[in-house]
Amino acid sequence: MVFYLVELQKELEVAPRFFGPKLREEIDRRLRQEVRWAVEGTCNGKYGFVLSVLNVIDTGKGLVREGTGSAVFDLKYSCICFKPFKGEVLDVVVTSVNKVFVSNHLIPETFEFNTAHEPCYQTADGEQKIVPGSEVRLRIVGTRVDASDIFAVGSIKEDYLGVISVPM
Amino acid sequence: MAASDQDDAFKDAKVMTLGEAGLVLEDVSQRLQRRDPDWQPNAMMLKAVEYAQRFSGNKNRDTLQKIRELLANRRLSEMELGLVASLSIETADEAKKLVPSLAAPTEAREQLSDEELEAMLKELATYREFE
Repeated sequence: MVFYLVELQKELEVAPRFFGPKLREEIDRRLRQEVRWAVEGTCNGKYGFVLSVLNVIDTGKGLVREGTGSAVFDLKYSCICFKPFKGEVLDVVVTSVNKVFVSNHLIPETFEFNTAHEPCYQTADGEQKIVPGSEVRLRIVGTRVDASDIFAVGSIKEDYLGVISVPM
Repeated sequence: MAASDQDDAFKDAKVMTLGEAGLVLEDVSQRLQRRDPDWQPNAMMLKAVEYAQRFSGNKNRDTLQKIRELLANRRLSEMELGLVASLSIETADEAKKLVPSLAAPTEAREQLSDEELEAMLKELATYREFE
């Protein structure tokens, strides 16, 4: 599983009373409270799941707004994201097995894998058994992104894929 | 990358290996908790930390640094670096099958020979042992 350190952007409007030596402190505070609150734990089509907002990268020069006197900053900040890609290989934990599909709840609750087209929970000679709690290495063969979620289908059919461990 | 479908959004993004991401997320959680005892990590972050702890062989900071240096010297792409480190790959064959781009030359390097791949993976494996 691969995580990405990504630079995101947000416009921040800052009131004039913060202009001065403490401006940077105020921007940091807004990042920690507002931006973190709005963005962490969300999923979007472009960057996938945003796990954590890290730091301010750059604030740029603020542009003073006519009328209100506040300044707008083009805030650039870093965060850790995760987005699965077709072709990526990763390890998952199986949470439930049903007749056709194996469902793996991966990182967030809303993120699901289905491994399809497999003889699924047991091979003919009873060798490979997939039960809840098993760790499985799979390759993503397709993803679908909607407004707030990402679904992926994985396959264990190739070399070096399949069950890694079973629960004790 | 040959077999994967990476977007433009991530073209310039840096990749973090599983071990690195786990460490950073834990650090951030501790820092935020110290600052505000009422703060709770969101469910997604908790699961990510749990996942990193479960699947990452490396949690030692120095080890992670060494792994990154090793891989950077071999001219791997960000994605290849992340995958090779996170998947704890053992052999050249496994590497070429799980990360198909390693089997081909890229803009940054010529074709990696099996010997080179094996040498790199062996060195990675030794770092995994010393925790």
